[in-house]
Amino acid sequence: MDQSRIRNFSIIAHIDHGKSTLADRLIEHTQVVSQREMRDQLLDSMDLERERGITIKAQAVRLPYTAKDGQSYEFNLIDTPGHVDFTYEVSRSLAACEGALLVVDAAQGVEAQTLANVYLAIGNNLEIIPVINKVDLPSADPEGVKEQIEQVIGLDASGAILASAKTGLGTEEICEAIVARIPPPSGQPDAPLRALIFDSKYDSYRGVVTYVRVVDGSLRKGDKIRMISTQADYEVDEVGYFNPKLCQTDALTCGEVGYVIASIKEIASVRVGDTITHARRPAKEPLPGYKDVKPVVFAGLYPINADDYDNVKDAIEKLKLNDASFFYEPETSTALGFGFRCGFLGLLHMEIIQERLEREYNLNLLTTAPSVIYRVTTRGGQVLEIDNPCKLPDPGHIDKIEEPYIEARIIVPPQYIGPIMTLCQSRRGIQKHLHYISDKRVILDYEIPLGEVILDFYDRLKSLSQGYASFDYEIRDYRPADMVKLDILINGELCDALSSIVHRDNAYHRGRQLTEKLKELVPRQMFDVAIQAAIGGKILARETVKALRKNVTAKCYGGDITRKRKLLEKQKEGKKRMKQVGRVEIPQEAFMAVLKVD
Amino acid sequence: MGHFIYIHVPFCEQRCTYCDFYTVTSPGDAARRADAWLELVAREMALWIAAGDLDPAEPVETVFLGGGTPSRASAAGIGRLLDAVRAEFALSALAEITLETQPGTADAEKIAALLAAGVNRFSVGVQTFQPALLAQTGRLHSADDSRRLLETLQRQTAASNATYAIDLISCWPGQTPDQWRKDLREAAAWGADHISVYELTYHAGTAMRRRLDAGEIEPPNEDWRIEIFDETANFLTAQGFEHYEISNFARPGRRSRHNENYWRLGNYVGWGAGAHSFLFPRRFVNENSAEAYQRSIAAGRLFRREIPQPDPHLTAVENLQMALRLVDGVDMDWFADRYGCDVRETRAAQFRALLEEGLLTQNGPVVRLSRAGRLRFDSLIEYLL
Repeated sequence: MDQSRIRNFSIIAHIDHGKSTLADRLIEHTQVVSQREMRDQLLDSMDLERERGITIKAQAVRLPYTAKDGQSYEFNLIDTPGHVDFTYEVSRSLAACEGALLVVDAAQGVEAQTLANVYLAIGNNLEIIPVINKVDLPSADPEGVKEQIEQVIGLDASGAILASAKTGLGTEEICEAIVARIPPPSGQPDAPLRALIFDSKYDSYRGVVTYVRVVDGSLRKGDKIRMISTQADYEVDEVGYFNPKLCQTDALTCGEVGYVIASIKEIASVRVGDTITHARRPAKEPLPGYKDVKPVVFAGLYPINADDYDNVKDAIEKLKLNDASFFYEPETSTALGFGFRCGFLGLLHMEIIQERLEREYNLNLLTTAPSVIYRVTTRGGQVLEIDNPCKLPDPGHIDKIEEPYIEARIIVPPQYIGPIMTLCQSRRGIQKHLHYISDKRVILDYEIPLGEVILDFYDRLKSLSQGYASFDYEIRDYRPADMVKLDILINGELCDALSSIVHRDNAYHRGRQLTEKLKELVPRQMFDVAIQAAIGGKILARETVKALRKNVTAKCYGGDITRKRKLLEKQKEGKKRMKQVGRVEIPQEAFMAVLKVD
Repeated sequence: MGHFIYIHVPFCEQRCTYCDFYTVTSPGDAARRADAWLELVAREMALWIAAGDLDPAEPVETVFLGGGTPSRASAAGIGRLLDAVRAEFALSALAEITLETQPGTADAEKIAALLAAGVNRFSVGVQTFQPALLAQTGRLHSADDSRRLLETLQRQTAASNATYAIDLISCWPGQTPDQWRKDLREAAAWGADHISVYELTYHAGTAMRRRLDAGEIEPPNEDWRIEIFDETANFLTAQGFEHYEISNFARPGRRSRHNENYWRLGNYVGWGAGAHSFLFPRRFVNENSAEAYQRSIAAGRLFRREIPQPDPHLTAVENLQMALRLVDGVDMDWFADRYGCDVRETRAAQFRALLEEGLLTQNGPVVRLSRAGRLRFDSLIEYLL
């Protein structure tokens, strides 16, 4: 297709503001998918995505559109993950586009996540078409929302399209606006090939399927290609576009969006943001913006039943095939046995991975409390990155510890400002800005240590604001902090899986909270169980789970020894979910206690 | 080895509020049905012998008639059953022949007839001597019925080797310490050779449990239950009883041989619906259905069904749960050999912890429960799973 007839765009929206429904309407309108095949949230193919109403993997679909001017156009809609954990992926998907539809709920208005993504789009020089969705709702306030778009984002909202993705209102107007307002690609067809990788997935039969946007040149079956960041060469087996299934074609030409299959075995070889060029006639410069993505949140994943270790290993390896940003390595805990240290892009990413492992591979997993990466400078001048509290060096060897800070943006109705400021302060947040978007919405900008956010910050935020607060962040920098390792001792024995790194000022309070919570979670045993919180050798808090005192069946009806067999079998099953620390049996929930205190 | 025979007679005039054994409530009819039942039991015995599982050359060591209310059966009916046993096996006067005897079901004349028939041990279900507590048990006798029966037994067994035992239940809802002490002292004063003290258990499906769940009754608290346990043991020991099993006390030489055989993991056979049998290593059950039992036995078919064995470790723990109850403890070398699973090794850390925490004591290969271990025996067993 001639570049002038191509329109590459994405949809930016807050969760539940109607992104997937609008995508469904566009697909229907252009009739790329037959009525028979149509279903809701067509582009969200994972069960998890459909259930949670979120997009985890990027998807693309080519939509042939005949405009009112009588000309045929090729739309490429790239559906991006909207969550903060996937900011980099979103930025690459956006970089593959020339324009974006900014979908804002007519009743809810602009949210923090929308803001972050729209700034990404503006940063990528995208033409943005505001779409005010759900205008058919009784509580819709399209004029107020237009005002917000202008004041908060600084976009001209006079051309905003009023739509209802539910009823289909405005769909045609949107299609015409895509033709009229989003610029066509402007690559050089004859220049050396430069194709931007914006996502990939693993197919067990064909290897890695790489999602690309051809910026300059063109790409054909049989081409020898090179990944610029890794300098690895491959031969192209197949190219094609999405409808949204893979559709083989002869070539992807300048400006087009599609996929490449090139016998690539490992997804790690295909890096989002990397540039594909030809091996024989390589481009001099890669496309801008490539970044090596590193996990920021770490946690231990352990099989609840130790016999499941190999199954967990298999599942993690398989999942890794499909998710290059997920990191893992074997880890051993004295309390939990053999497991894996895993790194994630954020909390949602962690939740998703855990849920996929449990669901798709039918595993029972114990996740330890998440940790961030602390940067530790030793007295010897060595710099260590510590992602597991157990690995923190002895305080005597530490010169300084630095922790990651985020820039957090919270948008909330004014009546909740007080409790939310208190929450941020209790998490060592530093307030940067506070301003009113309208009389109904306030933006709060804070700098907060990431470590204070990864536990339950978002849940607390939601509950303090009755669900109205929206939250977005990006990692800012590392700053020195007086951090200490808080240990938990069970009957005098260190339980490594319960150690955490906390700020010294919070250690006492946190220690008390933890021991109190653990006291609730550890069942009475045959002997007293002492639960202590300590820094180094210094005990900060202590609780005792008093021993069971009398628990004996009075009458053992001799003949029927099997009378208690069902109970014994049930108890035995229950014990599989317990972990032994010294001589104490600890239920798995206890290891999540760190997440539950407040 | 000899035979240990249990006979389950499930019929009751009325169900006790705490009972979860297999019983058939037959108001006004329990006596007649019990007699008819004992004839079926004799036929079941013949089927077992025909199946070749009982060595006719071995004598009978014990016969235990339990229930239900086996003492509803007539002395003649019980005598006919014992005669049937005698026709097949050596059943000497040295054998222990126990009848669970409910107060109010046997007068002096009946006791005399039972003694003549060969019954030589009467296990009396007193439960409590306190009328106020007895009222919540659903039992059909009064405290004075218990006293009359004990008085009769005291008189009629004096001249023989026959003996009688008393069963008490402690920790009734609303029971005062004083009420308990009275029960214990009176039981000891009646001259029984054997006293069982069972803490009330709220078994699922019983009336007592329903009342507990509905919040209508409140059991004594843990402190008080531990005090009762200790005080009972101290008192009866001082009276010359041996605390030979968690809930059982006997004068020297007067342990229940029949029950002791269970705890020693010996073989036994159980006849009647609801009875269990053990022919090492196989276990059998007669299902809880009087009708199905009757049909099966009448048609000349054994009613027993073999119970599958769980995995070796669970089998070992299940048997330890029985064997450790006895004060003599368990020879773990013998046990490991017999069950092919040495818990000292398969649960080494737990085993060591139990010794170190003083819940078990060890003397060579013999392991015993300490007082603390007895109090928490169920948890101890769970810990070893």
